Amino acid sequence: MAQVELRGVAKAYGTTAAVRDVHLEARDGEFLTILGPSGCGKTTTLRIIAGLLDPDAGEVLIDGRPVHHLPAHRRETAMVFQSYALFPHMTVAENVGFGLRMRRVPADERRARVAEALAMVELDGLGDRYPRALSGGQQQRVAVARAVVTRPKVLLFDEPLSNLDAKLRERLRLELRTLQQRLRITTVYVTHDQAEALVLSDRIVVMDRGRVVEVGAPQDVYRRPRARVTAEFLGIANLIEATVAGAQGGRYVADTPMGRLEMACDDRLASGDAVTLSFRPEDIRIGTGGVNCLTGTVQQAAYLGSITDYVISVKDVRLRVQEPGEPAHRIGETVSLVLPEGPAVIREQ
Amino acid sequence: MTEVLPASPALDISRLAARRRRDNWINLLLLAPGVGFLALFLVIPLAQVFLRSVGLAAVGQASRFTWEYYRQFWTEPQYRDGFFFSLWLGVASTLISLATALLFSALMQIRFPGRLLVSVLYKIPLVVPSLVAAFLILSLIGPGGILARLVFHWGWAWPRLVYDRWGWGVILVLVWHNVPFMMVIISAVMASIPLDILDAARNLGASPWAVFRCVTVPLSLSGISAATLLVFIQVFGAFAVPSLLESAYPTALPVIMQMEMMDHANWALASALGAVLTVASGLILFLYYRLVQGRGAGVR
Amino acid sequence: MTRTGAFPSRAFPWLLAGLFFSLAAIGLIVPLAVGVLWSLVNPRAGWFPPNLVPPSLSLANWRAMFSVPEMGDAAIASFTIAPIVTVLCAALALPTGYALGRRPVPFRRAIEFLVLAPIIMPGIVIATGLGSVFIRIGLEHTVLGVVLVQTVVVLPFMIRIVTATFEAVPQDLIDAARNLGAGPLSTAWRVLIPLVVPGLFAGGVFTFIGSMEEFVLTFIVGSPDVRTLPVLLFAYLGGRSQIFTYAAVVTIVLLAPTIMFLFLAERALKQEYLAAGLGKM
Repeated sequence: MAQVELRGVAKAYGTTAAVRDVHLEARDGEFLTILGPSGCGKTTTLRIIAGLLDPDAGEVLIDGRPVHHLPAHRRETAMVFQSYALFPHMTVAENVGFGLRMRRVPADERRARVAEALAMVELDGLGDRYPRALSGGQQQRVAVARAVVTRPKVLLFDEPLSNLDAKLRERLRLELRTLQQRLRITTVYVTHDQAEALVLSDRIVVMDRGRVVEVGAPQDVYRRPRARVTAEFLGIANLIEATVAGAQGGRYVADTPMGRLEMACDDRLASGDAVTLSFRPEDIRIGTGGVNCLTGTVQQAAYLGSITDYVISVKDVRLRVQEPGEPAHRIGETVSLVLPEGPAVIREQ
Repeated sequence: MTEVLPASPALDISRLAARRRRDNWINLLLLAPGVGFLALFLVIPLAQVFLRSVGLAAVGQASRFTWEYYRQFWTEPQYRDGFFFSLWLGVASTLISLATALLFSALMQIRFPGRLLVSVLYKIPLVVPSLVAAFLILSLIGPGGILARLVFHWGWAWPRLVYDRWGWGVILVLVWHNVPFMMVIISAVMASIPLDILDAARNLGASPWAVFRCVTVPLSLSGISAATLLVFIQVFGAFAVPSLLESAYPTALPVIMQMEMMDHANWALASALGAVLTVASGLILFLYYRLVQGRGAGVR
Repeated sequence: MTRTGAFPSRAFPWLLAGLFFSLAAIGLIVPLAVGVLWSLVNPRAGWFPPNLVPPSLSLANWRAMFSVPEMGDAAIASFTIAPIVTVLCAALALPTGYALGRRPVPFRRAIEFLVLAPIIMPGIVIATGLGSVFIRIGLEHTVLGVVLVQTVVVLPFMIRIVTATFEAVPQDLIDAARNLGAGPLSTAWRVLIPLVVPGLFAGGVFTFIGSMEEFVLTFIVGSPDVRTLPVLLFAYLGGRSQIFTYAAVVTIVLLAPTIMFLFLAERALKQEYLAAGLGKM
């Protein structure tokens, strides 16, 4: 139930800058995800919030008060680790109760709260087992229970689902979301899995090479990315360089290697502007009837069960196109494509 | 369409047996040199010791079964006191070494300037034979040692640290020798604890001391107990250092054994004393295994 | 990663450094320095209280190494016996280590206990048992007797280290070699042995040092005819005649190769072998 803020945080290892000038804010009760490829500095940022790392510069504030001088064991953050980091020499109940023991909570209250936390993650009755006797999913839940039982101000997750198989991951992420919404604890969640980010978050922070690239709600960040990295990292993006040729009342004409395209855009663009257009594969239609109609040749067709993923080349540009259902077009076939009029327009270099 | 596999053929029992016999021969051949050597040079002497302790297989006199030598051990004060003195040396040295090694190992987990150099320096006593250690420490803290001379300059008296009744000189040398030994083992075990677990403990509110007490030590228990056991048994049966640095009375049991053997040619009595030493050490080993078994369920 | 804010002051690491280095100074450097000084004492002046430093230095004691026969003999004995023991241990431990490390062996616990026993049993007891046996078969007071007796207490370390080394070779590598066409001998020669050599080296270091330092058994079985450096040192330190000067010389001769070995071995040794060989019982 607190607000977390990072101002100008930086950290370097030797000559490599892991995190550079990061400004971040997680609102009260919000589920904020930090998303990015490995090495982008997201785990470093998380550990700085937890106090497990010292930033070289910048401030960390919780509820408006600076905490970066506080050692890790005195900040009111609780972290769920990627490896779960359960204490192997303690039972599940002892693991979950560890934080309470450190806060000198009396034994009766401790027992009650541990039972409550275990029930919350659906692990009642397993209190006397040792972590090694549990499955990966169960261990993960113990880690979650251990973190929430202390009623921290901030809950931190470091890629907690990455060691689980796909089906389990899907199930657990929904449970995590439900849990967080019930408890309303401010949460910062780190992952490289964009599906997780989209499902779980109130807002997503995209990081790349130590910097915050973009912040926004899932839909905004997916449909209207403002940076190349965002578009590339979240889902598949067809990124087309374009030069604005003409503009008139919200509608623009752009020259691309594929030809001239018409589009509508919220921003104000002027003739001569160099932009990148981002088209999602599911928005490109194979067929006819639309303003932006192009012809292309099918290079690849991959059947993925619910959809077919095509690579279609238009002039020299290779486009990824996704259509529902089984493959309807063969390799080498010439097809007609319709591009949407509202792609995302990215205006950075 | 998937294929259906044919049914597997019946197992050939005789081939399995032949292979097992061949395996056994190979094992025997491989193990014979090392294990055979040890069996020969360990089991036979041990048997000799126990036999002689009850009067059989005597050297230089007729053999007959008797508890005479054990009785001598228990009733004559010098032998009995020697046993308890060795026990005292073992307990005191081990406890002091353990406390020191634990503390130092924990401190060595922290990064401080020069840690790498210290990690090499502290291992030096490991390669210093206990005899040499006795000499070096003697020249440091003995009655004519450098510290005594230093203190004399300032007009003070230097306390009696060697050749004393409680064996503090002996204990000091043994601690000097064994702390690095324990540190090597304990540090290695401590360093193998995943950092995540220590981070998790801190994250959940454990102060550095609490992390040490609740997480590091319990997870290092296997190394700690192994080191403690090895050191105790070694000190309990130590000969060289007590021989050099102890007072005239009491003397450690191994020293008494050596005197009986080499000066009085009393092999039977020496064997009885040796048997007592061995049984006592064996008992401690047994207790250790019982403790470790009991705890085994909780750790890893 | 740097740990943060865990300690009250930023000066703590420096305090630690100060503590450890002071301890090293008092506990290591001063005694060693005093030992070196003793070896350089002029025998005519001596070094008596209350002098804090020897009144005059000379190399007389070192020259004694060559002129006093017992010292030279002891050095030769030590430096001859140690390599022999090391080679013997390596030869005995290699097949044992291979069997224990890579094959399913029956009675494994009993064998492991037997291998552990010489470390556990007090040396004086082994000496008591072997001493009289050797008298009877005429090995008492011989070099061979000393070699055999030292091997008993030093072999377990070599076996444990070599076993751990063999165990640590991933089966995948062996399988890959076989899969690529290497027969069992070829695999052993080209894959297994090269991977085991570092462990052999580590074990060799341990064994050599162990043999150089071994005292009790050598004392009881060897002396007075076969005396190694430790046995000589004991003579110089015990009883009525304490000859600190000679003791210091013997000490330095004993220590120099082993400390050098330690520095070299610290580079080449892998920490896992030590912990694996000694840490878990």
